[in-house]
Amino acid sequence: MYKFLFALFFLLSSLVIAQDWKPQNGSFQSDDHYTAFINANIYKENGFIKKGTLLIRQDNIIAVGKDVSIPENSIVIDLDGKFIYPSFIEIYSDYGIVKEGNDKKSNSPQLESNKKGPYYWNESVKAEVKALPLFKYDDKTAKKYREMGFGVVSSHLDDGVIRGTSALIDLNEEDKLEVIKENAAFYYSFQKGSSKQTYPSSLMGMIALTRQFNYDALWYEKNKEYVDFNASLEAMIESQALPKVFNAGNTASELRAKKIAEEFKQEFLLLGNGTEYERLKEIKATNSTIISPINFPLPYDVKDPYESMQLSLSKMKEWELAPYNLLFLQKEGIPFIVTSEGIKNSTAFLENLSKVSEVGVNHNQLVASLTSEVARKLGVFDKVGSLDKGKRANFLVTNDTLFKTKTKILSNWVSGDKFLLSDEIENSVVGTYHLKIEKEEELRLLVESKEDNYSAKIALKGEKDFSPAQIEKELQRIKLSFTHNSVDYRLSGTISDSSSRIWSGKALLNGQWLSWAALKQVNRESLDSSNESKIVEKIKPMPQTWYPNMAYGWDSLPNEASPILFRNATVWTNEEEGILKNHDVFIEGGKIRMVGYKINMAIMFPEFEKKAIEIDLKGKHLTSGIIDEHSHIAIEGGVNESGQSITSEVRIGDVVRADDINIYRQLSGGVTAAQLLHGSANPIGGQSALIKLRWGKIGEEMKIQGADGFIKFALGENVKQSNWGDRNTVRFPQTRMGVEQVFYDGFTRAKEYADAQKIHQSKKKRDLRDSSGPRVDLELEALAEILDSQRFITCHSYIQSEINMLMHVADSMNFQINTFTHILEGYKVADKLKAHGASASTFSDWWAYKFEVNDAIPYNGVILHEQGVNTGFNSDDAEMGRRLNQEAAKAIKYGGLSEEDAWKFVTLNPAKMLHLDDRMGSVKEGKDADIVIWSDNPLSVYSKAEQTYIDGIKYFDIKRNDELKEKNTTERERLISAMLNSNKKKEKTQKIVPNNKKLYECDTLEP
Amino acid sequence: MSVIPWSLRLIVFVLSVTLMEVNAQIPLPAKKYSKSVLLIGGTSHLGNGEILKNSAIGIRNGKIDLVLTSIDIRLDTSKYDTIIHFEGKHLYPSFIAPNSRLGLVEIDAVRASRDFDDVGNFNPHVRSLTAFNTESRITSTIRSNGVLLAQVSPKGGIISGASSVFELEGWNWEDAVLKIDDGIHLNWPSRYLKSNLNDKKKADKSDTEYLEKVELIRDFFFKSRAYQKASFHLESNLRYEAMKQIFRKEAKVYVHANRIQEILDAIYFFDQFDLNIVLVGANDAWLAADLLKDRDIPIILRRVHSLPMHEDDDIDLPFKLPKILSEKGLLVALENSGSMEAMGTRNLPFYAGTACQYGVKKEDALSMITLNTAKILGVESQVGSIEVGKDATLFISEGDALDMKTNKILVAFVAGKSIDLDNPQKALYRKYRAKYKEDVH
Repeated sequence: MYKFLFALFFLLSSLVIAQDWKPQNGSFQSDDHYTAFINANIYKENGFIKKGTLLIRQDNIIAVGKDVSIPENSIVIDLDGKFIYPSFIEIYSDYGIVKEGNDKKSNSPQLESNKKGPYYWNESVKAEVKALPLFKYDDKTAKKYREMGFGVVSSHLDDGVIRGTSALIDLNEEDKLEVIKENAAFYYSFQKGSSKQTYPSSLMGMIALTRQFNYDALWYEKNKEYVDFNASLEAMIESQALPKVFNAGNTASELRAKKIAEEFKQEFLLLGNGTEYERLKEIKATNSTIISPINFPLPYDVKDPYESMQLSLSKMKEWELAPYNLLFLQKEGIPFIVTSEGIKNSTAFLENLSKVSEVGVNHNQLVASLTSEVARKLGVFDKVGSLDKGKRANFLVTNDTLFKTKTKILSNWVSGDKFLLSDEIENSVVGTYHLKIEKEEELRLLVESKEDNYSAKIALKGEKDFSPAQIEKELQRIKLSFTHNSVDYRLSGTISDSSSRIWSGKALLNGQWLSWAALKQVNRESLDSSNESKIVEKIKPMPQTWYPNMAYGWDSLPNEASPILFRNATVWTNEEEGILKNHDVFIEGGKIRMVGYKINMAIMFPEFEKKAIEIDLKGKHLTSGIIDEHSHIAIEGGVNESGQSITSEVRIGDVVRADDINIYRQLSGGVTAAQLLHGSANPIGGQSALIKLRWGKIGEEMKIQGADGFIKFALGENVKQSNWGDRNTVRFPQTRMGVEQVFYDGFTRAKEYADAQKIHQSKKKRDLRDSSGPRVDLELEALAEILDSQRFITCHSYIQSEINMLMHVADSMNFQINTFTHILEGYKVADKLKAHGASASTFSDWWAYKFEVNDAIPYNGVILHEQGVNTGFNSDDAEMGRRLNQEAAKAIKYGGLSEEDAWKFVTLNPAKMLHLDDRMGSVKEGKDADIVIWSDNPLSVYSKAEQTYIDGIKYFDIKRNDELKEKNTTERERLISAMLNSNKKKEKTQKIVPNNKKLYECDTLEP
Repeated sequence: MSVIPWSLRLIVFVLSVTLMEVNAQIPLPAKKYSKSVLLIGGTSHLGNGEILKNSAIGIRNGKIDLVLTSIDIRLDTSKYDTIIHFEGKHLYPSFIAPNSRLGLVEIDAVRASRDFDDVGNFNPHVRSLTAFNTESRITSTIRSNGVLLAQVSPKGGIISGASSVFELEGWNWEDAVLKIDDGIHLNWPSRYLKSNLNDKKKADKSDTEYLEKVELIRDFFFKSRAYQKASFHLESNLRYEAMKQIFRKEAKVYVHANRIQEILDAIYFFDQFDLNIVLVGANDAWLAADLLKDRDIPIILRRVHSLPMHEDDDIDLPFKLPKILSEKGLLVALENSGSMEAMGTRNLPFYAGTACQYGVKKEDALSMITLNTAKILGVESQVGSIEVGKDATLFISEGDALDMKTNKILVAFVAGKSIDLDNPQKALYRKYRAKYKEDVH
């Protein structure tokens, strides 16, 4: 038995070595010689073997070390003074993968998948795709990667949300290339790709799709024998053990991907856009390896101050911070690997690597991030990623340690095959020479490299007046010509030594052959070994990130709320006490502790008597913060998932965007909380996010903890796609009649789903073994929550008939509509709303923008209020959102509401709608210290919000705002001057274009 | 002589009852009123920066014939048929809404109701005059907030067409028009193109055709100027014909531009021509204030209640622009173009309110929606302020009309006629309050 195995072992290993199953035309060309690289500095993880030997044969490394015995049949290459590194590994590539063409133009929206066969229902899910069968050798790309220093790449189909499996392929020429690993890694992204299917149309839709697909795969695995074969789900299950790469797109989305990872107990390698410095703390907490691109933005062309007005501070800061990203990661101890993703050519890639190194990223860690770390993450460290015996002979020969500006990769060896990148001798031609021509004065010759060529200058010894010379090199021969003292010199010669220090030859001068020789000056600096320490000194202080990293951002986030005593204010309590003149409010620990007349701290709060900051508000008004029931600010990647009529599975909470300047602008209008709603593109939209405008924090931290879940519904023209043009006439429903049936359909299915879940849960444990239960359906799950009074509806609505209809649907299916939003014809059915128990969140005076709002009247709010409906005004508009106090005042103008009640339209009443009135909406002991200080009666156009507090922390202050403006200006000036500097150096620049982030409204659609 | 006590609601009441009888949703145009009226006792904001407390304003034959304080010995109340006391209330000249599509659209989303943007880049011959709809449901709601006059302007293309100034009152456009073809509207090309929805990067980009577009404008102006110089044409050109008044300086060129580069390019462009120029939009105009002042170019400033154009801008920059620009000595009026343009025109007074909140003196802020606008539109001899000899186009408000909290129009006159301030929205209000069994008044 053992003998047999032994024999097999030999047989196999000889097969591997000989590769003789491939017939050859003519005699076999076998190559079993060794190649030995001697006297090289060989990079092992964390250090060099000096004067070491690397021995390779065919594809593999045979030995590495100081004392390697070199077999007789070796080709020996002396690499004295040179360096050998393992070649790089690219984890994120689509090298050689040809995308399926999907440029079929269709006139009508495609709601269902056109992909025939047993595949998942959505075309942007391509889990079944394997890269290898799609691979076609691509010479140009292979060359580009080799020039960058890569030896192998993990190549995948760069298309879709779920992209399938990559293959790890080396970068050898077509007839020699090897597949290192057929199934290397599995790829996700937040990019829809070429799919023309309408769903998903938004970032939140992609998140929901990814989650649903994962749930489906889990369920499929358990129920395989009972359900139809599905290639996509099958492939997903097969790929469980593979490493997973998630192209999230930016830092905020890396955190989003991490949430998915946690939900499905997976580990993702997170690829962002190299801006992790924006949120280091949170990135570190993901415990994930970051894949960082190094495609740093070019400096902007800022020579024109007018044009520079279009350039935002956020873009400038991004430019400055980009090269520091890896350093930030290194300092925080966040593991990272580097990708060339987004970089078009090798020069830029190598330049950017040296920038990274210049700012202080550790050489060894940087090498690891391109080699061993990548190999480990891909599970192929046994084959590639370091220079060790038995691994593939993938390595780079360089003239100096990597990442210095002047370092060149001389050759890139892929599986033992050499690719010459830079002529080793040629490289050393550059320098200053003493040139002596027989019978002539000594000259100085300066040779510089100029892209693919050389340029030369010549001068008399000791003089600085250089005149141009022409130099050419062919193999070892040097041709040099110039004019000096009006005499034409033509020299020809050869490089006479191995290090190209001595040249000699003949010159033809006035018909006479003369001898000449040139001797290169020794460059002292390059021999100076203390170089490293000099570089360290040059390191500039690290630029600072703001929170968020843009104008008006914080240097560091405010943490603790200090105790504050507001004195002598006119307090709009929104409680029975009404509006109290000359009253004090004490806040502490993020809560309102007391509202009273001349609060005696010594008696009431002795522990805070000294600590409390006292603010005299004589003549000022103090209110609770404005709550915007209907807002679309601070949302990333689309406000509408318009791909289907029911999208209850998508969540605005997944896509809260922290760096929307409108958060800050609205703070300046006294807004402290908002419901971020899905748009109104479909009857059942997505789940809302309830946030406080905690400017500077990340999206997740803005969300109000413990708040009830809400969801957006919509009726009328938007969901019927009435104003979307003639193309959009396909999606059901196109009439108000159809809208009703969408609801019945959704809730009927949800009820059945919930019942099935209940039955499953009521089963005894013993019976559970046989059944994994019903499939998790995120869409129905959310609807079932509504039926279970665990989720609450805010419904976009205009016309009385549809409002009535939805209340009937709700009554018959046994749930309640929490709030009708917009509801411009609410005044026509105020009594019905009251009876149903719904709130109304409307506009003060909008109308006439659509056919369905032709009967809208500005008296709507007041009529609803008078009929006993809990009524408020909302913005649905980033601009109006900062003037909601003025909108409230319109309820006084149109319909004569009292000031006190009008004020509640934008504070207490929306708090009630959002089930937050137990902690917000009025100035009352125990409620959150969300406080606004107004210069005047807050309902007046002449009033300004001067201070805005959330949880007792001051997020806006009109005086600090002036300081921030100054700070913005100073920072802009500093960065512009830095860019001007690079403009002067004639670095490549990019043109400035306006950086207007999109504003979302209810009916904003993304393609 | 009949003296009507200050309870002005009476007038409104009488008018609205009449209205309900005929059951018209759009108010009936007022009859010519031949009697003289004296408005006495309240505060008059004249629109020219002055304020008269305890004032007496006389109306006769459609014109203002008296502007005094009521204690002035020259006041002879017996000369007036009707006296209205408005103690504690405020009188204003009509607010004027420039650059508005009012009356050219009823429902934004309904194509059939949109009449403000025609095909073609150079349409100076296209006129808002004859498309202006006096029966617009929107217009009646605008009047109820004190905006009784508007410059109705075509939109779109490079030269959108010619605007006219209207009283928001009358049976038809012939009745209503105050000034025919007061100027053409030129949309200066933008140096940057807005990102289009199909662009993956979703970034704006610079318009590579900017210079070509400017060249087109240059070409058009040169050709139309040359055209004016010939007295006879073998082939006439309607577009160039329409430029006649422009070159005679009888009508103005309203140049719409917001970015500084575009503003500068426009200013220097028009240096080649001797024309009456008005800058509309003007977000960055403060950077070119000297040039604008030097050339006497007034400004119709973009909607005050707007977001700043750039992320880094002062968060309240649009609120402050009226102050910044007027401080530089420029003549500034306020407008409301943009989304919700027609229906939002009723918020024009509150833009002046905001200007005031951000440092403009209250009476100066008022001028920005009255006299300044009248001057810019070339109708200041008729309207824009409470001055003897001007049209009696004015109104009385319960309180400060620049503040939404107190803007409540009690009575309004257009050229001396007391107009019906009812509107379809008020009618619906009454209808549904009646449904809920409550009294309207």
